Amino acid sequence: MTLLAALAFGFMAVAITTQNTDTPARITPADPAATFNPVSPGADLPDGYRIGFPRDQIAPVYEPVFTTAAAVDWPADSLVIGVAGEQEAKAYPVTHLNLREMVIDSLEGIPILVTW
Amino acid sequence: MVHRREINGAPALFGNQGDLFGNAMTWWDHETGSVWSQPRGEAILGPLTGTRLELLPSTLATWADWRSAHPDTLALDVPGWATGFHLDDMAIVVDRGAETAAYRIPDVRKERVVNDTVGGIEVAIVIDPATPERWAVFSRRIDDRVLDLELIPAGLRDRATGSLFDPFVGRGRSGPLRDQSLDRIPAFTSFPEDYWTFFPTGSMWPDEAAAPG
Repeated sequence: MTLLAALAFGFMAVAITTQNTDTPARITPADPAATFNPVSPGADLPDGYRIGFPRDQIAPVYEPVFTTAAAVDWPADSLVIGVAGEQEAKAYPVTHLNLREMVIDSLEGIPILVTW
Repeated sequence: MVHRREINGAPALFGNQGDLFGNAMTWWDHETGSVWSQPRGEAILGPLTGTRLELLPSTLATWADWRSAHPDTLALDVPGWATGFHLDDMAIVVDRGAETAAYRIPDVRKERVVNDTVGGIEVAIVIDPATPERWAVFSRRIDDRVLDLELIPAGLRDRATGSLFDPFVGRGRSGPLRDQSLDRIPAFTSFPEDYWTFFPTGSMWPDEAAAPG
């Protein structure tokens, strides 16, 4: 059962407790090099703007996969970003966000962007 | 931060622009290529300039606290955890605008904590020697006091007062500063070659003062 199907039929709680992973939605990211970019070395940039790395060199998590709380061995005192809806809650470990910085996700059908 | 990634009611994809605006991260949206400021949640360059995303409630919590509050929580699976990354080949980058410094992870692991100053800000780079995915960069200034920190089994310790802090959260645990917290400083990991390409005037701790060549 996919996440979306679970949401559609209102069986989210069942899905959470009976399976270890969700199938991520298929996403086709745009090609950073082929997409308009207003930032170039000669561009007129606002004060405080500093050019850094190429787009997506620090790769966002475009297709996050989730498991249950029981299935991970994160240290109790490690930090997570948590989001919660009516029935669904999700945790994103900061140690991973340190590496990837962005997660493209959804919560109860609402598209969300988690950033660190 | 967590935002609703909808533009004019339609789901939108975002990527990492890789630049800094006001010392905070920037995004690009896949549809128009506009550049967005993370703390503002707003496009600052390109066709969508002025468009904002809705900020959604989220919590920064310890795993124990979050799990206790939400026993059925899903957990972002990190298969292979650092697949594709060899952390010991990477450096932690602290970009303060006026000055940028990088710290090679194997060297930081040996020291556990590096007390340094970047762009006038006293910082501490902290790493778990057993698990290099666990690292953090904190300001080591609390009011008028500048801390000299070390990592011991009990936590992150201020040598002057003996106060202990959680090493990766920064919350005070014991000692005279137990009611204080260390402020987190934005930082990210990079391969040294990329660092020199994009920050040619930066420094690399401990021994490389300037870009080679």
